[in-house]
Amino acid sequence: MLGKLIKHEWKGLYKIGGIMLLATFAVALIGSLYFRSPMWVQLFNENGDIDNLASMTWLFMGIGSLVLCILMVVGLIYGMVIYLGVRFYRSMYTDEGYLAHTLPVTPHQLLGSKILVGGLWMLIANIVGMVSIFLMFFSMMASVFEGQQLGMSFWEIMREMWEGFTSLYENELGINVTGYMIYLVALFIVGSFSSLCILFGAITIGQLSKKYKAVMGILVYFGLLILISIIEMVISMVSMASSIMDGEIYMNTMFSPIISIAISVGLYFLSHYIIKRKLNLD
Amino acid sequence: MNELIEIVGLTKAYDDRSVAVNNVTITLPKGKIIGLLGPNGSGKTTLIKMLNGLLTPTSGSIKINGAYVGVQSKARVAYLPDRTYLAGNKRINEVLGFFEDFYADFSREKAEEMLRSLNIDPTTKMKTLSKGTKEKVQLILVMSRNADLYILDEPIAGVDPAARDYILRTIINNYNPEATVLISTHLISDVEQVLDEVIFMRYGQLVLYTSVDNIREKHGKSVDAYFREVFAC
Repeated sequence: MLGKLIKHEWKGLYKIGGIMLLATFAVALIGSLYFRSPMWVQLFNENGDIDNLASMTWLFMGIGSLVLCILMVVGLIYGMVIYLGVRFYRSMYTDEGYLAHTLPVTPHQLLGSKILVGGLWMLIANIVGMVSIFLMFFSMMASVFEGQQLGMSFWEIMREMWEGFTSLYENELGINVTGYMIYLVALFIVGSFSSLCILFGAITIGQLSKKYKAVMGILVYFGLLILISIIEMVISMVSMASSIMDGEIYMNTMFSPIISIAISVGLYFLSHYIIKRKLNLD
Repeated sequence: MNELIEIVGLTKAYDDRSVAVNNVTITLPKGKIIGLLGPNGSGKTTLIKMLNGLLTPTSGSIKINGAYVGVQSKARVAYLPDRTYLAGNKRINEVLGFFEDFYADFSREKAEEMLRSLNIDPTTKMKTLSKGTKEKVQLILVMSRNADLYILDEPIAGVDPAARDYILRTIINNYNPEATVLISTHLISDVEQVLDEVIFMRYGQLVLYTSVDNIREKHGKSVDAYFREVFAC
């Protein structure tokens, strides 16, 4: 039954999800082509013939465009979060829930299918979002380096920067960059799914309220995000203090995600309990 | 063993002052068409929602075919709620595919035949259908299953008299004779002709559970007339 639920969940999501991701990618593509236009290369050319006032105007416009593109990409990713949240609420706790909860499936299968498919869309959205921002940033930097005529290609400069970065981490700080990258990728994947456990968990907790269940779900969601931030901050401060006292290098990123993953696992089981034992559809 | 539904001490209380279903105990047999009758707010829909696992009882228990409400019972219960539970952006044939995937007892051929007889195009999107047609589509989906128990919550409430006749005919002609049909309604005169037994509810409590023949023989009245007498304001 889980496979069938996943199939129908995917069918219900792919159209709107696909349109949102295509829109994100289109913004990024237009943005990156814009930054690769000859105007930009000339702008960053020290010997260019654009006068200072015009240069400044273009520079501000360029930075403004980059910020706007990044905001659009981020907005579309948040749009995906909102879309998944609204869809989960509608399919589980409104009239459509009358069908979902009378299917011959277990609450684990029902929740699992929504988290697996939604999480996959979040992962895709995060990847498209990151690629989009990098695409725009790199095309802008490529124009900068090309205009500055440093005698090296953009990719050569990037490679040198990367080598500098890895040598700093590996030699100076004693951190294995490859291992750290694998850790970050794993975190990125797990984070896409755990963020949905938190969102769906909050919406499900909201169902325990007698009135204004949707509003309660939203309040619980923001409450949970604030709570997670506070816990992470406290743990970071404690571990930072202990690192300083021991004379060690402080690595904040190691602890923070573990907290939100642990909370998201807890919320999954709480959601399961509420659906199994406390379900009360209006 | 002829029992299909066993309800023991079932209560649903939202708070101390609001008890929707109050300590109901009843056993319903297989192979009957049973009317669940009562005025608005008598607890009919609450009872039905608990039978389908959409509401958690405050206390008491429900068994359907010997199993507590869960995956096993849901596989054998065909439920028609008092609202549209199908997403508006789905086409009818997508919904048929959905039912085919999840209910082993669903007959697509039967559903398509009923849709044809009503001239409903299966490629139509749910949101473009009228309220009455949506209700008919949902009824077709439910009656195309070969279930043990059909629970129909107000199946004729929102449709015109001609459609009511069609719906009642559909119920009579399509249900498995071994199964039980539980119909909740307050339009008693329309359904009376098809009922074997009736349950009267008031203020969340069971007032009466008897056969239609018994009401006619003992009280010399139709179910509708007897209902009006019992629930006179």
